[in-house]
Amino acid sequence: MKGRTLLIVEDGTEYREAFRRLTPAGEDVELLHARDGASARRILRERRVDAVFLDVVFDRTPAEDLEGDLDDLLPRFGGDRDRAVAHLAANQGFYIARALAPHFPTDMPVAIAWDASAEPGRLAALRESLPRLSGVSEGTPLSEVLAGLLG
Amino acid sequence: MASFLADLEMDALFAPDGPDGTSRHSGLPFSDGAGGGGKEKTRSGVAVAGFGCVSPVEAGRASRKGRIRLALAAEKRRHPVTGEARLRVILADDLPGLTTVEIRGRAAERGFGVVSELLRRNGGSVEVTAAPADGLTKGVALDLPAVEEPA
Repeated sequence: MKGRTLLIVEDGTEYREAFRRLTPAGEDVELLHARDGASARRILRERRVDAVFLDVVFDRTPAEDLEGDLDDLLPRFGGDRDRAVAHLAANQGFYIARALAPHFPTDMPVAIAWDASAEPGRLAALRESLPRLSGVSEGTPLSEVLAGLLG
Repeated sequence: MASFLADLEMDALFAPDGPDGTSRHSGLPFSDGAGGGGKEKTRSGVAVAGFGCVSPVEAGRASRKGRIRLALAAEKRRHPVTGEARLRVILADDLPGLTTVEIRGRAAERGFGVVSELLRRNGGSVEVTAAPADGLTKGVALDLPAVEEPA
């Protein structure tokens, strides 16, 4: 795991702090942090990254900073902008992953904080564009997640 | 992804028009194209009773007969970004009239308004779409979350 870089995308700092506790200085694992899709894209353009971890819910991000086409979503929500924004926030990790995909190699390990075990068909569909996508369910030790992404 | 098209033709019983030209049962305005001089005649039909607009008793009181061509199409698909499973059901007919705006503007306790509100509460939506086959004039499309199939 030495000399590896993980990009963490979340609108808080909880995962970053948790991963930091798991990676003592001697491990030589660099943790990069982005609060939204635009920041993550900027990091991917400037830095070499070995894996990406994304939170799925971004309910602290301003609506204008959320990835996804709000106008495209409005018909699905009967023109209700608030509901469309809530959908984007609740699924933002997926939208960011999709937006980042052109900026990293197809074999890049990507993990999303989402329980994929109940939705294997959905995971399979998502893997068509992100072949190494995995879901991280609540309770999964982050040490395992880290080893899976960078090991 | 599967889809099917069933073409149904049925006898339709039309409820009497109300004083304002709309049915006093469902209030759903349909133009039958027979109203000359630019004045459209309106009617409501049992064809829409599947949406809960006209009760069997009310239909039994109907005074006029006609034929309506109905088609039903359904397609299961996945959201291109989130991978969510969705079910889209389209009920189409050969009657003129009815727009998405009219459905959404309908009182929540009446006809399509009930459907629209139920869909809203369950993460679905309703809209008027292009007819899915020749010989039809429009479709009413319901978009709903679909249950994931077990692994």
